Amino acid sequence: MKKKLALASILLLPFIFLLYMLFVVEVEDPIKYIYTITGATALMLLYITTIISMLKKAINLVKYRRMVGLFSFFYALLHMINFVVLDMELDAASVISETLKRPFIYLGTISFLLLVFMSITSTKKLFPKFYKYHKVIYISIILSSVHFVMAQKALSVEQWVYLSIMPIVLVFKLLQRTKIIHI
Amino acid sequence: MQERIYRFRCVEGWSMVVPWVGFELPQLIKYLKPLSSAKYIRFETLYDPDQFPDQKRGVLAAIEYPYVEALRMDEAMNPLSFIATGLYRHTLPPQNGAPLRLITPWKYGFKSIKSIAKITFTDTEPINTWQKIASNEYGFFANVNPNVDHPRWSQARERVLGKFFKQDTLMFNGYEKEVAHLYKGIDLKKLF
Repeated sequence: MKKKLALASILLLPFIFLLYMLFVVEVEDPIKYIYTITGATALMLLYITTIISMLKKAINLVKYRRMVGLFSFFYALLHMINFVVLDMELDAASVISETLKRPFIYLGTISFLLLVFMSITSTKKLFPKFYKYHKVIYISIILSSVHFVMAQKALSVEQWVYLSIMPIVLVFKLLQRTKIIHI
Repeated sequence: MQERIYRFRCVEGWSMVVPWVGFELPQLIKYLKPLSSAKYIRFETLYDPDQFPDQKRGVLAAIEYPYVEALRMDEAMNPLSFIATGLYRHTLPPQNGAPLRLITPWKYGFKSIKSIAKITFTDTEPINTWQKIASNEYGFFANVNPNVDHPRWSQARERVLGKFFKQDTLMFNGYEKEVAHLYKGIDLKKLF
């Protein structure tokens, strides 16, 4: 329990950092900053969630997996709230038309809906019935990464490095599934 | 030298108001005396990997260098076209485009080429850097236009730096009276 509490506090750090940057440092482009921090954190936690699954035979951290996944959803939710409240200013018509018009927005939205599905079905009662569908996390990772690339004007070296984690994770998972590697 | 307080609107949706210091571009052009056959003015940023970190990255650089921008001669001769040598009443810092930077306030920010090292007059339309990277997203004119979306995002509103809420983007960034005549008869949806 103590360990879970400690983990939750660590997973909240990006959120506290974001609040600090918004209200103490007062970053100059808050909407963009919220997108960057919440989006990058959500995607990073999604990676960690899958890595926990992949390495469970080597290091069993599965009991923390749900919490990491739910925090990923939490940051994705903040990302979505930023879109609807600050970027679209609660204008339902723009939210819908922008989402349908822009591939990068609807790919992100699909990814978000997959996270909603996994979060709802992650309870003790529902998880046994639905865990096999939680493989959609890989679809969510791919969609989120494409969404992230499409949102940029040009990709920096740092972003390329960050993106290269995706094929590594996916290839590793594939090799594991096809039993080419045993970890 | 004079001070010009202009709106500045980035193609990525943020905006601010900047007090530039400098002189009108038409003054410089008159001094350079281009041939009457010149139809365009082409600018190039300094290429010096020792001073520009991204230029040092070679194939890993974010864009191709040197950066290129251009204006049609009548756009360049518009009195709003400005060469900045300073901002906020100080000399331009290197990152803001020292020593000379183009400012065309009715166009998206990427037109305002920094650290100009070469100026050419030509009779053929130059291809600017962003047009070369993605011509379906960035055109030659790059006029601020709330009615023509970037393919990936809307240009109808803008995020004013330092504020949580957005404001409407104005046609030609609010300089319609000064520059609209330059584009009479041109379909700005096609030539964005």
